[in-house]
Amino acid sequence: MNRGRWIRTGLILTVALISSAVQAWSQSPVRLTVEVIQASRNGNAVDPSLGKLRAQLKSLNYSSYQLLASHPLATTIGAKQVVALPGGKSLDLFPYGLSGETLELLVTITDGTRRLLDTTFRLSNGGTILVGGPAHGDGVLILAITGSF
Amino acid sequence: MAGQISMNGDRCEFLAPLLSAYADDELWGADRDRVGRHLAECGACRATLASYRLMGEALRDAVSAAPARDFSAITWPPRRVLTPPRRVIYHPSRWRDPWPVLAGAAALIAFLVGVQLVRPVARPSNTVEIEQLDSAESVMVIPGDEERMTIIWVFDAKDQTESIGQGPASG
Repeated sequence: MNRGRWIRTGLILTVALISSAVQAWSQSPVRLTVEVIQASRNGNAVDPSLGKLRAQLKSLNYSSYQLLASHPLATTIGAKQVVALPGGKSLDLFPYGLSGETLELLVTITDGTRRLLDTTFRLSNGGTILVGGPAHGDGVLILAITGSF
Repeated sequence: MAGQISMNGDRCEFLAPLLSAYADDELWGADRDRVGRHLAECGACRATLASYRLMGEALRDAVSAAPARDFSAITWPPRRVLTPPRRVIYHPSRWRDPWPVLAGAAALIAFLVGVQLVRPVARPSNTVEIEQLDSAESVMVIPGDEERMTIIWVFDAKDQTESIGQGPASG
């Protein structure tokens, strides 16, 4: 291979490596975890798999907590995630930015055509927010949304 | 020549110090004229001047005839002994060689990846800054802190348990 080819090959590889690095840098991975919990006042059972959430749930006026589903989501900034909730409800998660050490997240909960919640907030790395209230069965749904990036 | 007086009144002993300069063509102006006029009349001083010139020529001949030290014949130590060679990492003349560029790019990427990997993980905080909140139902926000999680509670009209007046406790 002569020098001219070396030059071209070197430049192409360099540009490709740098651009891929920049692209990977800009598309920061975001891990979201959605734990779907049913809370009710029937019974006193608290799902042991709730882990550290149990202490947080004690502040709510419910006696029974059951983990219905856990959705770990690997996504990126600007990618929308949709989580199907029990009872035909839907949870939309849209991480739309990273600001400093916080994740900017748009959360929408819909029940058919009814928009139960539409909110945007900043979440610290590894932080969790509880969103509760949508009716489900004899109780309500509580969503624990954790974001890490 | 001591004591000889020229026609213009200059004594030889007074002009003697100037003769050497005159001989070397280093005398100017009135002094040169005075010496010149004195020499025209004074044979002794002309003889002295001649001796100066002879002496000067002899010295010049001696200097030019003596072979100078032939520095060219001296073999200087190799340059690298005097100044240790610098390690050339990347000379501009090697720009055609792609490997240094590739190595630099690889090092940069490795650095970026390393920074990303070793970036300190921030301590999880449950503090949430709510920027916008909209709902068709009533909504309550219980702010969190380092220990307690922030709670957004939607009072769903379909929730029959809320009709008995029990919602989330804020304490």
